[in-house]
Amino acid sequence: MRKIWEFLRSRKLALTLLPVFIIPLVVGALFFPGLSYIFSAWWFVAIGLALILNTLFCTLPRVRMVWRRTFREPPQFDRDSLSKLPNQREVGFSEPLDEVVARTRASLLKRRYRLKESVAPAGVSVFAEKGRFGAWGSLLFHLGLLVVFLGASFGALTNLRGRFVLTEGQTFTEAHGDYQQLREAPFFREGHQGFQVTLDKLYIKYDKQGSVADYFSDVTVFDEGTKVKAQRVAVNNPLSYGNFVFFQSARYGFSPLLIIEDKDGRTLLRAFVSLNRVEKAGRVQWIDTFSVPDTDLRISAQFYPDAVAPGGLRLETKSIVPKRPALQLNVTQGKKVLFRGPLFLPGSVNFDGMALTFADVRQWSEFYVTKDLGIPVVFTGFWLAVFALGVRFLFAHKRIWLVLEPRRGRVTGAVAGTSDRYHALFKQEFDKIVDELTQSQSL
Amino acid sequence: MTWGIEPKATWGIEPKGGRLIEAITFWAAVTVYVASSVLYLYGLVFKKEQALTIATYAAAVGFVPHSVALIVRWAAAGYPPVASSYETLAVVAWVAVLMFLALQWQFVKTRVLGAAILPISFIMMGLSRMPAQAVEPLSPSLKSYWLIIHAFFAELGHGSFIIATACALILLLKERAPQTTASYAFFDRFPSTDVLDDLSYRFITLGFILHAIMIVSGSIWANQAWGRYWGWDPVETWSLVTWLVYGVYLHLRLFRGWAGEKSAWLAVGAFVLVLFTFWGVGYVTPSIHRYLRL
Repeated sequence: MRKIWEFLRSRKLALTLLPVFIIPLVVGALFFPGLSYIFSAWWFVAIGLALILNTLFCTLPRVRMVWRRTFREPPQFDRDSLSKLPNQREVGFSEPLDEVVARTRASLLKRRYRLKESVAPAGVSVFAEKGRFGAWGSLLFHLGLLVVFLGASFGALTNLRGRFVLTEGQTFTEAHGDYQQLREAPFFREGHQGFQVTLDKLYIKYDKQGSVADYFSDVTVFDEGTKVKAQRVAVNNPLSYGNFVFFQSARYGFSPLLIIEDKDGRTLLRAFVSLNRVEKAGRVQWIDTFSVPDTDLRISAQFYPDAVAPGGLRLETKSIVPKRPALQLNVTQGKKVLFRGPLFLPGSVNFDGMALTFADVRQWSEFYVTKDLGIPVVFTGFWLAVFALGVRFLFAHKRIWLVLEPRRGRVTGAVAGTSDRYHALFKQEFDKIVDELTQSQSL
Repeated sequence: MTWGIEPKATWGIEPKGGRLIEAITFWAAVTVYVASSVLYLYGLVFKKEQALTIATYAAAVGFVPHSVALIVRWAAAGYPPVASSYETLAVVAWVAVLMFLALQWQFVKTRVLGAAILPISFIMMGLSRMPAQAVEPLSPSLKSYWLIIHAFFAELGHGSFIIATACALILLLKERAPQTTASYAFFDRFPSTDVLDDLSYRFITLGFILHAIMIVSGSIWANQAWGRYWGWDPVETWSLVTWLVYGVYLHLRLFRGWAGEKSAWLAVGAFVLVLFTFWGVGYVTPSIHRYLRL
């Protein structure tokens, strides 16, 4: 059991799992782009889980160790014990002991070392230390990764992701049935809240070349019939309400108002019809086919925002700015074609005793919705990990020991130092400190 | 506007004077960097300390018009110069020169690294002129202060990895140099292999942190723009791969005692990943980072 435990918390396992985790990322991103579901495959998740468990088992036992190392009293040392350390020099001074100690104190304090001096019958010992909190950096970084994993897992099990389309003036109710597309995680547990979101207006900004430069929507939120919030929703400026977040999608289009009346003046259809947005050969079209409810009428409509009819033939559009809207219509009843042709706004056509009117046009916008309570936990983990990396980088644990003994009118001693990282650079710093202290008076 | 950045330029049309100033200062910087590179190489090969000193001053002088070019670009576009390949390459070169100047100010003996850093920088600046340089309007998803944070830390990270890789390359050259008097004399100009190793390690650690901030800020931004903090986009995934590979480097150093040549080779290999992530992935597969394509 102990061997299994040691294996699970071994760094060797971490160094094995990391490349095993990296390889599918490389292969997946290069050869299967857009197929992000492969990163949900059971075997990839298993590798990720193994890495997380290894991190957990490595990290938790180290908390006590790092705590002790940070707050323990430094061990006693003497001149002989310093000889075993990597950076070590013998020193000698002609000044009195108290002057040497004062100079040593000033030199080390200048470099922001924390000092602990102790006086013994034989002389004075000075222990200087800095960056002892650096050891927390690695620990907190790995804890941060664990927090990210916790947040991501919680979110993945409890979140909601959906999308819906609204025409200007229409209202969306936050309920299961109003979404066009909806994915609820296993433990979402029907957490719908029933508030309403109305699209007041969609704005599309065009540049001088007639391309879309920006887009955003004015929306209002109603909760139990009361207006609670109004906001302009744009990319990078989502709407948040009741743990739900609404994002402006890049998909938008046009909803012509079509009115169909029969020969008795009865209204068969009066609705803003959101025409589907399709991209074909780099060009955007708004086109759709739908049935008129309670009839056998079928209408195929293509919208032209800035329509022209060159030579009276099929419509074309000069731009995507709705300056001269028109529809290319095809109305059928079974196999019989009742009407085929253009219809400009505003306009009507009559066929088979019916009247079809193109009365108005509004815009529709798509919105993405998420509810993910794991996100704040994920971001907390991110920032904890980044902060910890900074601590680790800035605080290399450096220690310097100095033993000074008065002997026959001189002061002799030994100096030693260690650093947990950047050994060559620390050696340069150590040599500089000692040279400064001795002013080239080494024995 | 209640959010993000509103481009100042009338899209596709730039103030004529601004473009001229940008071009002049840009090419002035490249010219000075080339001169500095030549002086570094001359000083290195012929052991002329004065040439190395002049080369360092030249690099600092070239840094000024380089900075001006980027500032003019920022002013003309109305947004930071981080939204196209031209801009990102020019900024990464700027960061690499800045980090080098800071490093050699702290450790004088490292100034000979200028023989590697300055050529890399002016080559990057040359490459940056290959794609279109016209100021383009920002797409709505780029209109956020996170653009500055995300791109800034990406470029700082790249600059750090460039310095680390330069140290690693020189370490490898030193270790593999023929055992001749001339060779010793040449490589004696550089810091010791231990110091080069430590410097490479230090800059990789710094780059690791900066790269992490880049990934984190990108995730937060993606969540704000699209409602998902991670989407397995190819450039996102490759950034994670690069970061994990540097993580492997750090683990091997700390726990397996890897140092010297072994570490240096891994540092160079990891840097190839950095290059591929930001200027190669976009060619192989579509990505939301399509504006990084050369």
